[in-house]
Amino acid sequence: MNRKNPLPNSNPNSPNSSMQALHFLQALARIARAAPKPAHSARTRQIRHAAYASMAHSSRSSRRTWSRALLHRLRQWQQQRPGRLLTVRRRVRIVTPITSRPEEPARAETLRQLVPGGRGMEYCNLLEETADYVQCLRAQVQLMQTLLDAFSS
Amino acid sequence: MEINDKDNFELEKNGYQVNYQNAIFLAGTSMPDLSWNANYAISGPSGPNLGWDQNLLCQLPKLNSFLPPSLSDIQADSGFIERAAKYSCFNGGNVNAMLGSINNSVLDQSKRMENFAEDGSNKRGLERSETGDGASSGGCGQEEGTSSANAKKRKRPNQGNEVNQGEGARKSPVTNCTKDTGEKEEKGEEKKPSENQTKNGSDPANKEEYVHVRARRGQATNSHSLAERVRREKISERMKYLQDLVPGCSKVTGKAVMLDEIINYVQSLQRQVEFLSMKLSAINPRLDFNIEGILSKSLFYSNVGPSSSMGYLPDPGQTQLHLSQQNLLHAGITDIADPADALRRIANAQLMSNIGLKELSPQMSNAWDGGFQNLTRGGCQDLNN
Repeated sequence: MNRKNPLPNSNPNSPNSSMQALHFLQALARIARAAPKPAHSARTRQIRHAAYASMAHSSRSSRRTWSRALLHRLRQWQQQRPGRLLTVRRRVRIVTPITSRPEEPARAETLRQLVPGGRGMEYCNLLEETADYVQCLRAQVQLMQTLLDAFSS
Repeated sequence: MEINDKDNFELEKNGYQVNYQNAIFLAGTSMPDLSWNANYAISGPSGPNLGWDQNLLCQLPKLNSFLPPSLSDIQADSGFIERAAKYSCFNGGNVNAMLGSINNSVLDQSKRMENFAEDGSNKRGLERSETGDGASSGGCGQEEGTSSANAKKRKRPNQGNEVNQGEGARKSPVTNCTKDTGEKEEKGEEKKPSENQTKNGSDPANKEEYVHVRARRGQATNSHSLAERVRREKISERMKYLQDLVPGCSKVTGKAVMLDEIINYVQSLQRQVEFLSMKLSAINPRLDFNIEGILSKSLFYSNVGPSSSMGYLPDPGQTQLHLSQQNLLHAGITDIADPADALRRIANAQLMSNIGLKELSPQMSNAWDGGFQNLTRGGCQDLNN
């Protein structure tokens, strides 16, 4: 089982976040170079996907459950888009009773929905994944904010 | 505890193998065990311990050199050194032999002994050693932090083992703990002795995933309660870590409120990502977004501080965000004209293309010292000059 990362303060100088940033920038460049769709929402969606993809591909999180679940979710999102008819899935999802344990607090279910891949995890692992997810999210937000500042100044 | 965690993760970050990590950091049980250490005040070298520690160290001198330099501060603690010596798995089977010899030598010192399933003499030693000297825990068999348990605890009846073998105590998986316990069979008072015993002879370097827990003084020694206690401690440890991560949670106490804060924070971060991606998509077409040009221009050495992050957006800020986005659009059209031209000039001058980017990326990844914030700042400054 992986241990958590040591530094609570997300370090922008670490190689993890730089790889994340690189991935994101490459994706952004690809989006910009691609056929310029005038649709604002489509572009927004693409950028959002790129952000999550770069988060999932950062070196720190490649071993994590949430990164794999996130990639899976991304693939579903990207496949869904071309044809809306495909969104209907016949597979019945069996919610295992493991998600609701007596000793868990009531809000644990909300957290499971937030963190990708949180449904199948125990509470203990859920907290660990949440910590890693929060770190990656924060790094991603900082990255995007910096880019915005850089390109709008 | 936190310090040990940090060093532990540094190890992992540096790509050290799991062996070192567990050899030195007492894998999954480090938390509760270290706390017990604090309770029983053992950690540093004390009088009667020293001789034994040095004995160990003499016999396993090479292991210290294998400790990575980042752990230099930890090396100072001889207790850690002794444990590292025990739990490193360089020699696989040889360590067991060495430890076996040490074990026999230590037995005579009437220290507290763990249960060695394979060694009958050890079991006798277990019953014998009841002296509550603060001696370091029974030689080789010792698990991580439990160096000096209570005198009352030491008398672990052998019958307890057979009872535990029948129980199905809960496994609490630990990080891949290469406790090459050939005969190192410390169990907590209860905890999967059966599986451990069966595994002993087979593969000393095998990865065991069981937490070896010792019951604290005056607490129930039921296997279920012990497992639950370990689990609770894990959860509390992670909550503490999350508390450090989430800003503004240091004052909040209690798991329920903390959990609410965490959920709010995650939601706000996700909303920020969405909002920022909207903003980026608004800017994107106007700028022509030549990242390659920017990155190649900038040299990663910039003194500009990081830009102010948006911080923790509360819920009612949603409507304000839309307004600011519109403002940004208007501003973007007027202000970005010059930088966009500059970017285009740069792009044309350097003929960056897809292939160019791929060639550049390994260089960039190698030279990516400064933060990406400084990087883009530097790039923009170059453009504006």
